Amino acid sequence: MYKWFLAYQYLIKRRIAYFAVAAVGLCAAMVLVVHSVMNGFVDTLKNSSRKLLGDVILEVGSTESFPFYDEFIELVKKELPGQIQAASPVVMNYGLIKILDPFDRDRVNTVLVNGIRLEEYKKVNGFSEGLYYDHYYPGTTTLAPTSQPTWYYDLNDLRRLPEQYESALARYREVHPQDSTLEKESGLLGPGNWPGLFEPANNQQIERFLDSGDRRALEYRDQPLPGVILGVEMVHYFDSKQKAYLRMYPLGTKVRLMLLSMTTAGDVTADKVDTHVLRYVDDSRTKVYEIDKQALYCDFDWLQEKLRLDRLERLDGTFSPPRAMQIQIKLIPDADYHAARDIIEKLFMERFLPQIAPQLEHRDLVNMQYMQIRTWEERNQSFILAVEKERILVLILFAIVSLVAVFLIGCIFYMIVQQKRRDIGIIKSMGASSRGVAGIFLSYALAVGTVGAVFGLSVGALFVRYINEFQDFIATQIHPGLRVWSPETYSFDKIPSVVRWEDVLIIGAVAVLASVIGSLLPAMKAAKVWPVDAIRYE
Amino acid sequence: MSEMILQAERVTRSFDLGAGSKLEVLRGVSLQVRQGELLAITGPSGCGKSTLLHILGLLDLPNSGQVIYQGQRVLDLSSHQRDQLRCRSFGFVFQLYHLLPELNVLDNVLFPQMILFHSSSWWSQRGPARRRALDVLERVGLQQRLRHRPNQLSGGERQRVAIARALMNQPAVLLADEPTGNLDKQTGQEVLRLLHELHRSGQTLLLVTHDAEVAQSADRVLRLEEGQLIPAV
Ligand SMILES: Nc1ncnc2c1ncn2[C@@H]1O[C@H](COP(=O)(O)OP(=O)(O)OP(=O)(O)O)[C@@H](O)[C@H]1O
Ligand SMILES: [Mg+2]
Repeated sequence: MYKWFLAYQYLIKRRIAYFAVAAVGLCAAMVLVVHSVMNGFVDTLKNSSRKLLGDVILEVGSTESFPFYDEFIELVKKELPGQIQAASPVVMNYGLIKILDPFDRDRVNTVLVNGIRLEEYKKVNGFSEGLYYDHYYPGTTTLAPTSQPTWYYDLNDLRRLPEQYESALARYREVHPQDSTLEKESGLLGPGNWPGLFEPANNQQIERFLDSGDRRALEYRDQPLPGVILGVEMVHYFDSKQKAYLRMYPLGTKVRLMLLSMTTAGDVTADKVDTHVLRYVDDSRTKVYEIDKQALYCDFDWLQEKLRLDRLERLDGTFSPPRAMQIQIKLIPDADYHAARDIIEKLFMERFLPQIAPQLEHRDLVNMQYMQIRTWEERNQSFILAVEKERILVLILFAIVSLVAVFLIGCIFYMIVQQKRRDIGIIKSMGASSRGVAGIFLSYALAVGTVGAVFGLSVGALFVRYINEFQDFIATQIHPGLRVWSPETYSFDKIPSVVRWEDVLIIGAVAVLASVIGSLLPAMKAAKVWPVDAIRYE
Repeated sequence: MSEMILQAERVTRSFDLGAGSKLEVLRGVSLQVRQGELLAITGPSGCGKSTLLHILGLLDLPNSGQVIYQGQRVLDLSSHQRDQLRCRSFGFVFQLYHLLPELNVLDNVLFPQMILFHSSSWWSQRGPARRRALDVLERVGLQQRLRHRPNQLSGGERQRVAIARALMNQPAVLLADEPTGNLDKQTGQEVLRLLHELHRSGQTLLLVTHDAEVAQSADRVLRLEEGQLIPAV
């Protein structure tokens, strides 16, 4: 009993105990923060990389095309009945874009152009989750040619969006009755109480409306242009006053796209640069910064044609089949994607390829023999592995920090025991055994460790919880250079973090254990104090 | 002739001073303490009075000889048994009070009870222990100062708390080592009066002092000289 009592008194009355508590607490907090951010990092990376490209990906090389993609998709669906949720081909090319911004901010970006079949593509991976306008205005985003939507005042002087957008937003509100993000996004930008940035109708539109009485004249303007979905990092910026990401360009802004022509072998031909004008119809956020910074999505058929990868007449009057760069396959939920990959590979190499071989040009046959058929994990292995390795580093860090805690506690307790020699003698003179005296200091360490762990883990958890706000605060209030987590260096625009309860418990247990271990030698030293010596000398 | 409670038989104690030299402090000391007596031990400074007291209170071990407590040969006990015996049967009062600085007066006095009882039985003993502590503190006249820390008390008050603490486990023998040595004359007298009161109520008391006047008031006075005990003249 007296052990706990004295340990408690020492804990609250001796200032040196605060140092010990702080030492243990800081160690625990540090490990928790690093561990949580690392966990969040790996989790986010895995999650978003899984959502990036579907479960199984077929490609020859990043920009090398191959024919008969639809035929193969059909075969896979037939041979793996009930297992395939969706499959979709993609054509890709590099290019430059210039966003034809009404405010004349010249921005040229190099881009990776993805030609996608939007509806299929949305089913094949997590693309739809990252679409902004399609999220709040479900069903409005299309890559087919469209005019620019505009807002206008109706006869009651109310601000209105085009009918299509208003009903879509109403549908969204119905499905998500209490959505705080909608509240937040609405009215961030324009005069209207809606998410996103729309252009107001101009005088010409109003005149045309007055002439014709057709409401559509107010709702849309300009000739229809093929749609393009831009990576979100090209179109938004962080506004520190509103503490939100704002979109820089109104929906429907024109985008000039310069495509580098490539041969079927993937060589760039410098003889001609094609320029096209498209319309910005949505933006996409995959949470991988590099992709959101430079990926652009347009219609599969449109891009295929522009790249001359569609069905072309050869000089001899025969036709070459249309080509794609990639096939993405999505399996049904919980399917074993490793097994599926093996089956698909076998299907491709052993059945499909021999079957189409007679129709292939020699170069295609060679290329397709090297078709890479990979699961999402394998495909993104290089960067997943890199972070997985860092987990081991964190473990080593954890061990070192624990050791540091052991030594810290050891030193502090050595000092305490030294200081307390006389008291130890007195306590023994009252009949406490050596074991009991050791028990005092072990209890003390246990208390210090527990309080330190609770304190440190709370601080750590709180810090992790508000780590992004904390960073924003430092970067905006003190110095922008103090932004540790810049999206350019890391793949995500936010510091990811996951606090797992079991980790908190383990870290806490190790912190307590480390303090007790650290106090072991000092406690033994205390036990050995010969009471007469301790009492005699002042 | 009243009963013998504590006995020392040809106790020797020497200290190694290093380099082969030895300081023989006790050279075969024999002593008998009777139940209820107030025995004073005097002698010049450094003659070994404290050493003898510590050995009698089981705090230190002699090099040879035997200590017998109520017929029990103490040196034959295990150190754990000696600890328990010390806890139950001996109370120490030191010249420099030696209170625990983190604890208030009440907790200091309660502390021996906490050592006496195991964690499990402490909770049931808490009430009686507290009552006894208040009782003892009243006897030493400090019932008003329960929440004060030792550094908020005067020397005399501290020594009275120390006496209260020594009495807490109702020891068979109270061992006081120069209890007035650090106090001015008047406060020393008060503390002495308190000890005499205890003695009158039946407490066996062993008092070490080099103050002849203090020794005078004892039932019996022994003098330690050259490592031997001799009756004082
Ligand atoms: N641990 C030790 N190592 C060496 N010498 C010691 C030790 N303990 C005591 N001594 C010596 O033993 C002798 C007796 O010491 P002790 O404290 O018993 O004397 P004392 O009679 O109580 O003196 P005082 O009246 O000054 O308190 C002293 O000379 C002291 O220096
Ligand atoms: Mg002495």
